[in-house]
Amino acid sequence: MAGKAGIVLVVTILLLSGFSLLYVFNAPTQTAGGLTDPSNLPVKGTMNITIYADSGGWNYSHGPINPTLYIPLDYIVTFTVIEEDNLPHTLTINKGAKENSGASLTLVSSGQLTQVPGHVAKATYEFFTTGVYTYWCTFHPATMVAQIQVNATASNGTTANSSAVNSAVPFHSFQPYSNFVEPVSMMIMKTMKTAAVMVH
Amino acid sequence: MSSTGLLITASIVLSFFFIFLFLLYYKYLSVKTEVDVAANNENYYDYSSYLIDKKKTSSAISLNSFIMNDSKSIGIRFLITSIVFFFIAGTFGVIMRVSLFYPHPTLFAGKEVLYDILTTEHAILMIYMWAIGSALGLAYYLLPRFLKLKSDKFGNFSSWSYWIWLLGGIFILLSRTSTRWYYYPPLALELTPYGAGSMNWLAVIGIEMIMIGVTISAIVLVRNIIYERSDSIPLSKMPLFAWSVLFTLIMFLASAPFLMTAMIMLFYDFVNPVFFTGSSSSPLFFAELFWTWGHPIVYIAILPQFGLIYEILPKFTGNKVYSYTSGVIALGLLLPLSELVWGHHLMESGFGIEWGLFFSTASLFVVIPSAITVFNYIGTMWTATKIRITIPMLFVINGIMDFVIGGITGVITAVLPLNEQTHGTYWVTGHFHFVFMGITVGIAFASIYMLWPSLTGGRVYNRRLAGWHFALTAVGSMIMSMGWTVGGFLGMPRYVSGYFARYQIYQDVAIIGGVIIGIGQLFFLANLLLSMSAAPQTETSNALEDAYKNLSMAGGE
Ligand code: HEM
Ligand SMILES: [Cu+2]
Ligand SMILES: [Cu+2]
Repeated sequence: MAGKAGIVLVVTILLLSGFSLLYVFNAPTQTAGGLTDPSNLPVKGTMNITIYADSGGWNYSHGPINPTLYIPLDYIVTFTVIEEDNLPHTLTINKGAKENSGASLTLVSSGQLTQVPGHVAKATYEFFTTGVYTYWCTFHPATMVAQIQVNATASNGTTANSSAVNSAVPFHSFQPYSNFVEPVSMMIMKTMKTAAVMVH
Repeated sequence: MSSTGLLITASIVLSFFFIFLFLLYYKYLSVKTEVDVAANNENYYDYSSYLIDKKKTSSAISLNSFIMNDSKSIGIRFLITSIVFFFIAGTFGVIMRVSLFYPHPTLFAGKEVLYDILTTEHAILMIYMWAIGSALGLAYYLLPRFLKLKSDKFGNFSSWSYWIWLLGGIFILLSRTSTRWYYYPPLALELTPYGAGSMNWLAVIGIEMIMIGVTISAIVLVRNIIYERSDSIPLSKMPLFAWSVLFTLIMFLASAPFLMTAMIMLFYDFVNPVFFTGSSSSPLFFAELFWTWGHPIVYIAILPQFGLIYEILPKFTGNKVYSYTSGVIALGLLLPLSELVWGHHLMESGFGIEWGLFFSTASLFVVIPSAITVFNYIGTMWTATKIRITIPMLFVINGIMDFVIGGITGVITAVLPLNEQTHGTYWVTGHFHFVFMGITVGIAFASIYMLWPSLTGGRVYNRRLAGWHFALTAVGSMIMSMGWTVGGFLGMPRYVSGYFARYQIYQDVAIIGGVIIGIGQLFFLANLLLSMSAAPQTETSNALEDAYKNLSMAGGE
């Protein structure tokens, strides 16, 4: 008994120390994911993006759902968010291809956008680093989520002053948030879907 | 994160948790039934007393330690958990140290707040989980034999105390707080990554739970010492370790309410800041509440170990403790005196020169009992005819030496004008690491080595590995703390993730020391692994528990 206990104890100690260190290293290190606009940013131009907030997905009843937005670097973007249903929504962004609530910046809050259909809320933001961003709604993170592509040049198919719809990404109903549990939960999702099909 | 994914993960985690709980409960029932039946057959109401009387102590490390509620099992629980947290917090410490290699942050460049989180977690976990935990563990483990307990009731309370304490520690770890171990508002109230960490509120709850847990244990232990002590042991013959635990716990019970109150007020301030940051209040008020607890805690972290030194020394010197009476008096004097000196942590806060003088003077008085204790140790060794140098004895000698250095640096920094130079510098860090590494860590390990045959069910530890463990810990901590002390005297600020280049030499010396300490602890793990996978070789008794057989020269290992 005690022999095994020694191994268990040592392995536990090593594992817990390692995991704790990893856990601390993953702490959020920046307010709003470091997304808040610094002062004195260079401005190359402006553009407007209008988008409809609907719990079924961004732009649910207006063309492709959850469009990828292409935005040039250092442009001041004015987001116009229009309420479609009578549910609360936010316009929240973060760096990276997945939602990351720990490092996100909410541009339009549910307080600014009232739950009256047709109500409009505006927010401006300047993307100051290139790369993939995610924009989503914290109330409907499973449905209202899509990507923003920020490019250094304005050429890449930018459609200023429009709804900025270039390519519709497939409908994301499920966004695993952690690589650690992804395989397991994916497997279970698949099984559940198959089961549902079989029941029907 | 998507809500579907979250739900699925949560349900998976929860199911595993419940399966685990079920297994644990199943195991609990079977083990408990077994001992209950055995105890019943012998006409005992509670199995803890039965175990003690029949000397069928559950004294070895096993899963049962987490299930049974007799004193020994509770002690092992606290001891194991505190060792785990020692390694967690130690890892944090070593990483922190290594990150300071260059004056500019390299490892944490751009995310310096990680350094703040690491310091905070390192300090809180080391003090509340390792120092208090190991002391409670040793107290629970040793006292039944030391006091020949009449009965061992209230194991349920101790068990509750343990789980609450553990959960509090886990909360602290999960909160990733960066508020420093003293939680000063207004920083502590700022729930942002560059404030005190987004989840600092959880750390406040965690501390509160730790304090509640330890309070329960303290009451049970004090009760055991006073009421359950065998009639054959009058207070005047009680082993010094029992005295030191008694004084420690009284000190704890007297000063813990200050912190608990302060933390409740702080928690209220998250919602409605009236107590410490409002227009008619002051953050200094919090600092005063905190340090009224904050100084006693540093003595709580060493007093039980002082008692343990009194128990370990005679085993290897072969004579009695030089002066039992002065030992008790000195331990007792430390109690009121260290309640009166907390202001020496606030001498630069502008609370007035009169207070500064008072606390400075009071701090010098603490030297008297400390010195009596040290001279008592020296006297014991001085009057011995032959001293057997073993691993525990080496830890003890090194601990006494470290405490002398740590004490002197403490007294120096407690002098009002000198505090102006040393406050907020690595001098302070050096001061308390001398004491903590030498006494809290060293004596805890000395006791663990002495208890080794009992804890591991009859194994002996590998002396070479233990020797390396001792040597690297002692040498490493000397190098590290000396680097800090010297650098700190020249003004090297503590608690920062970068520093002026002129201090690099002191920082790098301290890094060498820190890494040596870290490597040294691996030898302890290796020892655990090796000796426990070997077959049992000796009796499961140990010399440390034979408190009334001081003269056993052979004892100890
Ligand atoms: C001999 C008696 C002692 C004296 C006179 C003394 C004096 C002091 C003083 C004046 C400070 C504040 C320094 C400053 O921040 O300006 C201090 C800090 C500290 N002392 Fe001691 N000390 C003594 C013993 C101990 C012992 C035995 C321990 C622990 C085992 C200890 C642990 C600490 C700790 C942890 C701090 C730092 C607290 C912080 O600011 O984070 N001291 N000591
Ligand atoms: Cu929404
Ligand atoms: Cu103090």
